[in-house]
Amino acid sequence: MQTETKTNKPFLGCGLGLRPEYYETIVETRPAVDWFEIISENYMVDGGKPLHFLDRVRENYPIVMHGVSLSIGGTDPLDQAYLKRLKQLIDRVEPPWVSDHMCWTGQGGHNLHDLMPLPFNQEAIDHVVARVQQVQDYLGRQILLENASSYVSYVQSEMTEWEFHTEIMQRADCLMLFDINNIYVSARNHGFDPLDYIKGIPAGRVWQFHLAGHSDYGDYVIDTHDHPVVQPVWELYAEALKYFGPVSAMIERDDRFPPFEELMAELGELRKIARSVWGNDRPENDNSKRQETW
Amino acid sequence: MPGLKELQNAFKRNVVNGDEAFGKYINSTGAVSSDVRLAIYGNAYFSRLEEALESDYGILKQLLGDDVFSEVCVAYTHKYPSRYYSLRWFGQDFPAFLGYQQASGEHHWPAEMAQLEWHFVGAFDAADSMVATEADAAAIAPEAWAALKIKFHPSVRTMAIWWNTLTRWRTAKNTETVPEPVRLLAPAQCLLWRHALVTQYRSMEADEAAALQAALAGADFSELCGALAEEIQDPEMVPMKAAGFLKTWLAAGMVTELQV
Repeated sequence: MQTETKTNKPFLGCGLGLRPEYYETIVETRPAVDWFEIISENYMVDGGKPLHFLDRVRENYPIVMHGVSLSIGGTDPLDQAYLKRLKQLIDRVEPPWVSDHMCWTGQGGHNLHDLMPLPFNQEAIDHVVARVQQVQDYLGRQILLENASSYVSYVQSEMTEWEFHTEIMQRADCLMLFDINNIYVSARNHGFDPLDYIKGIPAGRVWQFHLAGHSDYGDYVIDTHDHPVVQPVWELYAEALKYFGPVSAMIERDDRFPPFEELMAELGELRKIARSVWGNDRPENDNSKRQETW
Repeated sequence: MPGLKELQNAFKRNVVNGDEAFGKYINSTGAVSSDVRLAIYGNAYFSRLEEALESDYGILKQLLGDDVFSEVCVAYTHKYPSRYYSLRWFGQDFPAFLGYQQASGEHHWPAEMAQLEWHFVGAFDAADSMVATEADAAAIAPEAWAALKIKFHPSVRTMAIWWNTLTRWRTAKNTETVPEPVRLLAPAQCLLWRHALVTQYRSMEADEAAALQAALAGADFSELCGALAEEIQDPEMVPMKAAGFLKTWLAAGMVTELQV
């Protein structure tokens, strides 16, 4: 395991992605969820239902923010209008942390609205480090970057994905949203051992886990977030907990939305595995307020 | 070897246009060729953008059919590549792409259906605002009415309707039998807004539309009455009609402020 100076990593417990399909259920029943994550761009609107429910949910839960359009690895200049809107939303939500993806999303002013992979080389590292510093200076806070799933690898890559991520985090002093499903998907697509990835990341930098389902086509796997979490991903989560210690974890679901109870059952599994690794005591870095759920 | 910028540009061209030159920068490993790997990105690009258009233009998709809608989406995606950080805005040129002509009405029904659905999108997440009530109107001194200005909720929109678009939208939404598209003998007026988080719509008679459009353009109450007088024959009825419209708008949550 990579070691580094201990950071003040907060621990919120186990959460869910906040999606419009579940707004009413969450507001009316106040389920035992420790925290929610929003897709930041979905709330960069002027009013109406999205902001109404955002505020209602925020009254009762911590909410972290997860973006898809920062394009930290993009070669267009950083979008200042986007950053301004992001900052406004941060002021409204007051999230414990803010994340986006290690990727590029467009080029030449044309947004592909996808998480496009970067080559793992020194040029990309230098480029991303400078942009992370710009963003962190503007927002006045560290950001988390998530490892995206990928389906291609570049002939230009000079190192592993975990070496690439680690050097960027250490040089830019940023943090990581460790997506366990994405590690599984990319490991299957590129033929690496996911445990090597886990062992290659400095534990203190990992502040959040994502778990989700995917679509398995045999020879390759696509990250679709439209199925329940599969057993190998649960097992990988247990391994990650051993290496990284207490990390706030959540289930992502973005399509084929099941009844809310099914997500709550997956959340129960998330807690059960965490307790089996750490025991029933609340982790030392636990600063969530919802005592009843842990 | 190309630098990062050139690499991203070449990847983008592969995603959008299938430009094969990019394939040489991708490793083919295991059982999966670089072509298959790249196709995952290309397919995802068009399906994600079509999904965004479907969420904005769901009734249009239902009426055009999946295949035609899909073809139109691909053509639109090529002509209007997204310049927005949010998919919320990607569909905003769809009515224009389909030939919508606001002033002349010389468009076919799909363009008008698209414009109607885009207005729904706009009303859905327009800025919030407190609404005024009938009590606010009752508190206005009689001598202050002439110069009264009505401020409307940011979600309020109006549009002229040249086809039986409202009927077709409503029946499709309610999964009833949808009538064939027919051009109206004279254009009708449609009003859209949001009240208590729910998007609303209804048709308006010509007199209400004239009054509302005058007020939306900044006319005071006496100017509003002037616009209304051009639509109704009995001048004595004008103030009462105007007050009636204001009462309706207040009750519907369309008015945010009565400025005297």
